[in-house]
Amino acid sequence: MNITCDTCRERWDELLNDSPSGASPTEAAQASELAQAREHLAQCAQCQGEFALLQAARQELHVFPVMAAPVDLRARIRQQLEAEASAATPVSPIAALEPVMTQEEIAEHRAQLESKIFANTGDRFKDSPTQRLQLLGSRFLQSLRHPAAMALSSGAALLLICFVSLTNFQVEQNPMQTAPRVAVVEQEPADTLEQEGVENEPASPPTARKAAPEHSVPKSAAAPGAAQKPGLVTSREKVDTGDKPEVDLPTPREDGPAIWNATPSRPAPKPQASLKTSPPAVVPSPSTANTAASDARDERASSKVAPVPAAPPQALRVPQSAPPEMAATPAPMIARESQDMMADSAQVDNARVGAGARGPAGPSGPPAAMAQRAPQLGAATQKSTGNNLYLARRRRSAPEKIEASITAPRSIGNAEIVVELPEEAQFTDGSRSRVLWRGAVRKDESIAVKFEAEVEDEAEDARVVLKETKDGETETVAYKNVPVGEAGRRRSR
Amino acid sequence: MNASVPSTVSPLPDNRQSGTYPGDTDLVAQCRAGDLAAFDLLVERHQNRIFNLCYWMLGNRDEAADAAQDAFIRAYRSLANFRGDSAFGTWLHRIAVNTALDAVNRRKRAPLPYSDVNSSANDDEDAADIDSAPAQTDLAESQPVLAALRQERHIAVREALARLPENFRQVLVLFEIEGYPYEEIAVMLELPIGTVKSRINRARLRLKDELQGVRELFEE
Repeated sequence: MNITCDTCRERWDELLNDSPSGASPTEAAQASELAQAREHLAQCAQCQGEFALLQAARQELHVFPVMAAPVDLRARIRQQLEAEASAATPVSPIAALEPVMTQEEIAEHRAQLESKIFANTGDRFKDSPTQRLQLLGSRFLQSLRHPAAMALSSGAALLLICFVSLTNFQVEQNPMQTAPRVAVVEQEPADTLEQEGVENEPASPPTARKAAPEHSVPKSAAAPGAAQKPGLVTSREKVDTGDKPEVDLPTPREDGPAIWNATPSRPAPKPQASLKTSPPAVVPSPSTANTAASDARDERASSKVAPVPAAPPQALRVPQSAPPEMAATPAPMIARESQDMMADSAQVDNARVGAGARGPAGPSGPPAAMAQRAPQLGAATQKSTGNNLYLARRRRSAPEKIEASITAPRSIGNAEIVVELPEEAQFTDGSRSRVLWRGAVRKDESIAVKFEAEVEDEAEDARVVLKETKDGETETVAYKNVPVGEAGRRRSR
Repeated sequence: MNASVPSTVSPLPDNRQSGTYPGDTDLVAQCRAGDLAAFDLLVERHQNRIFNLCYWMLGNRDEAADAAQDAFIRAYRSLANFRGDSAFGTWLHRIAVNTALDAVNRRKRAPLPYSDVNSSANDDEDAADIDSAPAQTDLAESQPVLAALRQERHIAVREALARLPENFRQVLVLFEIEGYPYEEIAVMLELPIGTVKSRINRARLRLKDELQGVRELFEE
């Protein structure tokens, strides 16, 4: 058998171990093959050179120095272990103060508690789970007799209250609020600001603007006569008078919550009563609108990163540009929602006006999309004023990760899976319908999809639809309702 | 009592003076009872090998010292899990290997080419070569050319070792430098013994390839 250099190389390990410098003899090498490899090695100059190099390297490894450990290594280890040992000792001052009860005392205490609990109830609740809860609660109350335990309980309660308060405050201070945009909006000329009210809005859900500072409302949106700007009214009517039914924007009332009158030093803009009924006047040329939009975009790109300190929560509640008729917001609305929502509603209203200036063909940012979706709001929402159109949507939380699967009832060569979200949910880009998958699917094959959506607590089910595209036409093959949001989870439970 | 949280710390016993050398098993049992001094003896007994292993795995003295310390601390915390299936040293080396690998993964870069070793052991008393330093000194005095050649070889092999992939380097360190048999390496690395053998063979070939550029150093 002729052995090649490669075959010989495979035997080097055994040859090395067989050599005088090897650590141990070979175990499973077949003698004949090993002899052939040795023979090849004796004849092949190339293999000889490489094998010699390998041997030399190995010998070099064998004489590698044994590095001495640092002299302080042992001390460091001991020090760390001692530190851990001392740290493991309970050092709670409360624990030291707390009186120690022996097992007998605990048993006696428990017996006393049980006798008190069941003194008037007999044995009715002894075997029920609620009885144990009662016992637990009673023991908790009884334990409050101990000062240390009371301090612990009070501390825990205070911590809980602080946590809840902070959480609520953080919800108000939504990080998506648009403080950096504020200064720019205020510096813009009136004509541009009307566009800016739309253009500046990030691709974020309406809730993002919930706690925006008062400065975030473009001045021009509330400036006297702003609503009568021809472009604004015309475009808004384009939005509202499409195929969808027009929203009945309630006429603001004169009586309103005091919250809107909290800034008397601000000049009150003129009423905006003509928003709904004012006829279109002069339609601005698209070039004008585009110029304004591009200016706004440039401005946003150049200087919107300048951070502006967020206004205090009180300031958030009263937009400086809130027109006086907004004070006529019905009181029940305020009772139903918190006050800070009204600031948002005013922004929504202003944004809607701005969106009208942009028109349906404008940017698909949230305000424009919201304005276009306004007619689709449900009846419950329409009960509110026009300034509060989006209150029902404000409770959208952070994007919810939703998983669903749908099984194909038959084989489809050109299938697609579309997710249709309910009114109370939307994708992060503001859309409510999205194709998540396309491809071929076999009969009874299940396809899972994952998506993220901002969902209100009280949302209807989303729908995962399996569609087939054939001859240019798409038809629904199957669908599946997927519960989303808190209400959906409740329903699914 | 939890062995990982000893409540008492006794002074270091000097067993060498009293002439008693308890085995690792006895010391482990004492450690489990919360005797920190017993663990200190174990550290003293194994620290050089563990440090050496970490050093050749990491290529840096400081990192090796940290890894060795971390390995001993981990071992102490895990003493309750030591079942005694293998020798304590093997078990400790397994922890050290894993600790060194963790350190390698943390820094996510190629190990240092043993630069602090190259800088000469004589400059750093911590880096003392406790095995061969006297012999090298004698050789340097008697045959300086040969000593320089050996030093060059040494550096070349170290750098080649540093360039090896992690899995190759660890088996070469354990087998060629530390001198562990296949079986113990298999236990340490939790690999089949056949895998260990083949990996060592491939690691050697790779090391040889890395040394091709300085082949003349190894030609007599």
